[in-house]
Amino acid sequence: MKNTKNIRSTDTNAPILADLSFTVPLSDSNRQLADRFRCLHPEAQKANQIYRQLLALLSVEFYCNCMGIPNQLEHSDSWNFIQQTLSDSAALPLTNIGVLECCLVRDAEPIVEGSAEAFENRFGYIAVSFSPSYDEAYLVGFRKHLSTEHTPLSEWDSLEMFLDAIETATRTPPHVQLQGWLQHQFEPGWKLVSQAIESSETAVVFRKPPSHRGIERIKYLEFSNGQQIGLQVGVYPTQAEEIDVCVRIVPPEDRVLPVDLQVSVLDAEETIVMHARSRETRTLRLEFSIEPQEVFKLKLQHQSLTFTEIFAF
Amino acid sequence: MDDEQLTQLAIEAQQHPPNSKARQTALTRLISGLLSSKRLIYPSAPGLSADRYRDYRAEALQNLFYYICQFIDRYDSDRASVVRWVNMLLDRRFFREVSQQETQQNQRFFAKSFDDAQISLREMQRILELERPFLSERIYRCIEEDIDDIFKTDAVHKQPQANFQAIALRRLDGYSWQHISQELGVKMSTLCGFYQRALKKNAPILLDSIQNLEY
Repeated sequence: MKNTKNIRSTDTNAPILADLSFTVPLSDSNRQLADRFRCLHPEAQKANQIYRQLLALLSVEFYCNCMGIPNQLEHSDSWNFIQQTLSDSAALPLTNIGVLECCLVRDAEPIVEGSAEAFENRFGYIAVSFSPSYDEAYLVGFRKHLSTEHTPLSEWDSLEMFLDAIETATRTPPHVQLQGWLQHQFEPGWKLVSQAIESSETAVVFRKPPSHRGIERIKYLEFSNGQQIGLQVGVYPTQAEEIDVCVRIVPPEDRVLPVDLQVSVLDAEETIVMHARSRETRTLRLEFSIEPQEVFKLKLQHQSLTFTEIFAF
Repeated sequence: MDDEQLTQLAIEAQQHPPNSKARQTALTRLISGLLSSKRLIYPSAPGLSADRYRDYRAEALQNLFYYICQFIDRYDSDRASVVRWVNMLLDRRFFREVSQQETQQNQRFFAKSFDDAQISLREMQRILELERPFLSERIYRCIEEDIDDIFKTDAVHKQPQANFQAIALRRLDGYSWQHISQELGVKMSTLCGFYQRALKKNAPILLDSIQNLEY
């Protein structure tokens, strides 16, 4: 559904209120903060862009705070002047949801500027415009996807779609953050792999020893029929930015896995990337590599029972 | 929007649980409606300059709106219209609070931007005070000189011509992504994806080298 009513009046940038939009009263300290970064950039056009982007970022943060959407403004790359200089993107990290790009609406016409650097790896896009003296910011549009650098504001949805997308995102189970694992932060339920399992595993399963030690954790799952299995995930940093991931499905103690247990790895678009099925086997094992920002899903199926866990790196 | 409509929005927000989409939607409409209704008061503040008054009121409105969103359940529609409740809060609480305290939050982000490389703000200010070359020129030179051969070797997989140095310098020279994509023969999405990751990785290195740059 595209919103066509969001056409702004000619004498002001303020949106017409038929569609869901939000107005932020900008304070002097907001403007001062943006101004201090503006001064770092000698070229007027770039300096002006930074000023507007930072005000947009602060406005979107304010809206998220009002709506109770947790975010990490201090972790935005936009505060880093190297990244300010070398990038056109301004993005607000939303905790456990993704990165929200803040796009500027041109002053003279209802055209929204998007950075090609931000066409991927974004949760969504918010369009922000300002009053002439920058004492108000208007959050006037949202898009889930963006693929062109200039889009008419009329092709943007209202904030209602943003709230919809947030609702959908927070309804799905939280991601297991593998980046956190590398810093020894683990989600509840992920336990140390006991030495016993570790040694017998290594003997039975590993064809080649891992090139270097990684982090391995196990979560015990119980199907509703009482059947227990262990989901063991290992992450191994590599020289490159990607990490190797090894997933093993292990039975409790000395038993074997239930017959016809299936495990699949799915990507963010729900496409099955890898698949394995047990036949009286002791373990199932899948190995693959993932890149930063990548999301994958592990799906276990046994008869009519399913268990899914989402991982992000 | 009149008082009655605004009050209805407040009541609607109260009927849905916190963080639900229905409550968020009603609150968004309420805040925007309050502002556009022009019914929010201007508390009296004798002796305050016009500029300062405007700043204080904007700050007070931010705090007020945040409060309304958090504590809409404290509003009692049997006692007053929502406009009266909000104006009472603005007058007796938020405007006074702002005019009685100086805010210091600005410092936090400005300092943060340099935290990662452990540069003190003082050191940064020293760099900033040097009139020439500007920071962006220093960044340009560091990428161009690339004394440790880091930026020219960090490239798109099997496309050595599409390296961080080549892309960053073209971006600084103002070339569009489309142009760079054609020139280097790499798809725009691949190029942008690579550049985003490479920039994150190389930013700390750059920060380091712009300080050590000799002129």
